[in-house]
Amino acid sequence: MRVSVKCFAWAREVTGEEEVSVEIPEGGTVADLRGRLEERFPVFAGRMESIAVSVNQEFSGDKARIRPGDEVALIPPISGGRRP
Amino acid sequence: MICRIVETPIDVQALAAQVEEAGAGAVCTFAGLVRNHSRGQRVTHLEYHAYREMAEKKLRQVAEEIAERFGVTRLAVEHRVGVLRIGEVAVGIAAASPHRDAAFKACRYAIDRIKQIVPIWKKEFGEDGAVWVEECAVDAPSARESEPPPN
Repeated sequence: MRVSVKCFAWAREVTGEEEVSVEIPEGGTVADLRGRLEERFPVFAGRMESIAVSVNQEFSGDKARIRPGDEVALIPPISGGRRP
Repeated sequence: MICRIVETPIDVQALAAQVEEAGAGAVCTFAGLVRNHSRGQRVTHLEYHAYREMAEKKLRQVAEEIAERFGVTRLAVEHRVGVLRIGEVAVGIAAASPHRDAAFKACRYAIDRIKQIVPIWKKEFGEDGAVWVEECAVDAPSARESEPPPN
């Protein structure tokens, strides 16, 4: 199953693209997607803990399934999340 | 309720005017400005980028959380994207309520929560080049979890 992944901010600089196409197994999860991205862009490997993944514009944990046609994005740390 | 990502300058007084009503005894506003320094370095300008569709959706979620927590439904939030100069307003918030306490709390909650869950990024440009600002590394739950809960 091919998943089109939107990339923003720092993640866009890593991939060099606004959107990358990634192959994951049918019924695959966010964790599968992270694995494929780490293989393709090794610089992500040490940074995955800080990158969130959204599916259909909702933050989605590693176990979330990705279905054909879902809108998927990489969300690097957002600015200014430091607590007051 | 106004929740918008904008490319043009933000007028906080105009936001206040949009939430005012006869039953509101209090209007509280907040403006987040571009500062001329960051972590000891001089900043020349900033660039804000958004995942626009999700950002507007998450702004609406913040507004719904505020309505639920503080009963404040007269709320306007705008976040600007693009190139911003020192002193310009990056985020503007206005909240109106019958009494002041809820309006203050709504503004405070809105800005804190925006910085937690609304996908907007800022790139700082200074004398030594440009850097994506990531301030949440220390306190944030792992990004492998789902959405961070409100504080």
